[in-house]
Amino acid sequence: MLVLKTFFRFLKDIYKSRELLLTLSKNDFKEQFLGSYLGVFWAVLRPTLFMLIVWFIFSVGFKGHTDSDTPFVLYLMCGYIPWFFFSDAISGGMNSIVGNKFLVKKVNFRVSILPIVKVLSVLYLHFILIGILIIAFLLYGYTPSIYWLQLPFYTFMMFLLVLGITWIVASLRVFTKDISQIIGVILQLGFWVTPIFWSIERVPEKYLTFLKLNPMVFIVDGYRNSFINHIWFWENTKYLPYFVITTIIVLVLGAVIFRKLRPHFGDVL
Amino acid sequence: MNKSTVVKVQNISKVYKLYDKPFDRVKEALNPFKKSYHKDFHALDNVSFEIKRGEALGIIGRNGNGKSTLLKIIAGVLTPTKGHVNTRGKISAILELTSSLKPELTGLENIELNLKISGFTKPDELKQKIKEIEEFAEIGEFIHQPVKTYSSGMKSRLGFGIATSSEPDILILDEVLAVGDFNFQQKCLAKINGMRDNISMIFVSHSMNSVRLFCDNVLVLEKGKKAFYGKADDGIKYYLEQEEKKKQELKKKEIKKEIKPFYGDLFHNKEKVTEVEYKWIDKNYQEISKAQTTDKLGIYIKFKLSYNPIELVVGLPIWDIHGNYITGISTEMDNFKITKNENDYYEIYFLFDNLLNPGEYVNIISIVDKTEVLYRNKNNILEVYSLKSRYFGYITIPHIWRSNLYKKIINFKNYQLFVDVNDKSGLSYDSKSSYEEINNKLYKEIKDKYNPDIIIDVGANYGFISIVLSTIFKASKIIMIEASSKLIEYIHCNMKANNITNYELINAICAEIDNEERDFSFNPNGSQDNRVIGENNNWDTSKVATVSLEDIIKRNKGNFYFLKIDTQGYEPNVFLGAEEFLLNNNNWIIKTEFAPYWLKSQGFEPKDFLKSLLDKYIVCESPNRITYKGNSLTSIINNKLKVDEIDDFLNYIVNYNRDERGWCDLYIFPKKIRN
Repeated sequence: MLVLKTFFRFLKDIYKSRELLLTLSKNDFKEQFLGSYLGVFWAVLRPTLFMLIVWFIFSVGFKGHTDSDTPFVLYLMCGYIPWFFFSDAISGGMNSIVGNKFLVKKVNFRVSILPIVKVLSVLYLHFILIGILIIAFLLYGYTPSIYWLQLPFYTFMMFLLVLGITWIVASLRVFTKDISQIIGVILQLGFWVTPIFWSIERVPEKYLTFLKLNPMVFIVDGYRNSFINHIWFWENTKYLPYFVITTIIVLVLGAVIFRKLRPHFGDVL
Repeated sequence: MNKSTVVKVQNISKVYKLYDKPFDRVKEALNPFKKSYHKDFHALDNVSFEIKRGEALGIIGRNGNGKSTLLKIIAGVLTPTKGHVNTRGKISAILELTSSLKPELTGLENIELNLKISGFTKPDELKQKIKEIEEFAEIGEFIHQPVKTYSSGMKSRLGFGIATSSEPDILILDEVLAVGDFNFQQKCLAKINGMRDNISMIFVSHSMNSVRLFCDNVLVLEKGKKAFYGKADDGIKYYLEQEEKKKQELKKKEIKKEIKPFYGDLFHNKEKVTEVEYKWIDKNYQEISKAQTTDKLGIYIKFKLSYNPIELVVGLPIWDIHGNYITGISTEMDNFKITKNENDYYEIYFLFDNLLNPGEYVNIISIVDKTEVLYRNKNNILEVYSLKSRYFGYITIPHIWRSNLYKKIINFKNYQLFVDVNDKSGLSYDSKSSYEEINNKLYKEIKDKYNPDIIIDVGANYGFISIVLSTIFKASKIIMIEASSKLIEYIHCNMKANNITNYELINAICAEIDNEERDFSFNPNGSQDNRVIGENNNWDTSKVATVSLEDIIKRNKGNFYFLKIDTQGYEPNVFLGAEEFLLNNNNWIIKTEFAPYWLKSQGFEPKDFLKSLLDKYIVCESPNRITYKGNSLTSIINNKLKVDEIDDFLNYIVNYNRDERGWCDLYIFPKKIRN
């Protein structure tokens, strides 16, 4: 109970600073991309280039690997774009407190919003990439379907998951630099154990349960279900409860850890 | 929490946990069994106090005694280990001036960001505030550059501007004024002063002056504990006393450790110097070990030499007990030749007014022959004590305090006169004005006829008559002689006020000879009746050098001299000092006071004086209130005094006032009067 109380008070605090949250995240986004001459182009270029290379290798180099008749590039984009948000938000959010010492040392500043600011700022980019994804589908002759509408649900769920993780790693990062390395390794590993350019159906049954512990499997699957497979999220009865529970646990854990460590930030920074 | 209380600090302790590794902190915070991974350091120990609305609290203490920690806790940047802080209203803190700035953002962006965080979101308000801060910070074009390119001064100005512009209810300032140049400090002080009435303030500074200036109350922290809490003046006093104590203790330790004392090596050439004796003495030449401040005291030295020295010098350096070199005086610097007495002893008395502040003093007796040191030894320690309690620095220089120096009197024509408000006779110039105006006609006649180019005013007082004369003898040089040094500054002031530049002011007793020191007496009833010889012992006296008119006239060659003499009975000596000139020349006219009562007070017989004047010169009574005889030069001269009239005249003058204090003015002309 105490944990939940802490959690809700934490959420209330954040709700109070929602205006500041928006201003700061806009600032952060602008600062990151608008300072350079090509602006958002760079932001989009990085994931795009990566996807191009993967697409080239797998559809030109080793042909014929997917079961469906969906163009490989669309399949890839559905997997890579949410993953890109996930890894970018976590690695950026991790440094959100350490990188803003000047704010932590300020009076009455709610430090808990710093990770949110970073995640929001990455989310803006994610919206742009989703836009590109939709355009790609349209270009390949797909017509918008009602299933596309569940995209905000998946995005929101991913946002909550990422937020919880970010709170944990950002507050731990204050105390030790090792966290950056650990998270780097985990993200790299995560990239391979998440079905981004391979299909989960091809994995032998005995490894499947193990693989599905990765909550990002649900998200990536969800993006594909919305665009390609046309399956509603509530139809995924096996995986949905597991994901929701995991996300709630991560979120509550993140909030509690953050709140517990917050008083010590001033001593270390 | 009481309504008027804005900050309430209750039993706050801050224990810094010292961890070997930063990550131990995480292990401890998250450990379910509350395992301890740290060593404790108590930065603050059970501190509580309250700040009321509009109050300013100063926190003082040495570095590392918990001041900044306390501020950070109040500001909410740090969390106290025990106790809690309640605050009411918006807090703005300048903990480290530049810590609220992000180096990558430009000055402008930083301002905007900080204002938004402080809750200014309306565009109009934001614009207004940004302009305000920009003006305060004076950064100019650099405002569009990233803050990391700023000089530290620019950063400080920007940081301070941002912190003070956010309209806080509570302003926390940590050593803000220690950075920046003098101008910046003044600017900050002005800004703080302007906000002072509306906000509560917590102020940490090492500058006791700033604390005194701003703070109502003071909290003194010592090793994290509340050592004193109370009125600012008391707190500062307490702190300074503690500091002094610590310093003394430290010094004592150091002195014990010191191998070589601060006063240098001691030495005695026993073959050449023998039978050395020395002691501190009082004004009666009795040996002392203690003296009061302002006492007259001295050092006595006696010794014998076995040979004839080339150039004997005795030096007397004095240190305080802490090794501060207070002064060093030697016979050489004063060109004082030491001579032997009839028993072949050299004896020296060194006498001085004690300027030393209370404390203990070390003195070295050093005897040197040209460059050869013969003797160097330590005199007894002199203890200076005082009945007063407050002393500052090493010595107290002789001084007087005065306030309200000047009072302006403008009651006649266009003259301005400033007088000492404490001088009873100074204010009586009002009544004198009318009768000096009568003389104006005569002065004008003298000007037209003789055009004197040198005017000498003997006994100038506040310079009033010189001012009157200067309006008539416009091109002439005015020489004023006044014995009272107190009046000198007033005369200068009055000359300036009346635009008189061609003047010379001599601070001396005008007498028969030059350069002799005489006592001059100050009449407690007013400066107009200061005399050389006072009426009784109650009059203050001071030594003043003399000057003769002869000397002044010699130095100031002119075609014609007009002299005004008014020296309260000292006139015979003034005439004596000018006699040679007066008898051998006829280019002069004198207007002098003739006051029998005052002549007697200075030891002169009025009748003899009048007789001698008549013998040598033409003596006429000036047209005034007594025996008015016309108002032109010719009518005055036609009514000149004759020898057989002396007794009657004297009688008449003396009895004109009560107590036989009658007096008149005389015009004196040379026997061979110019036409």
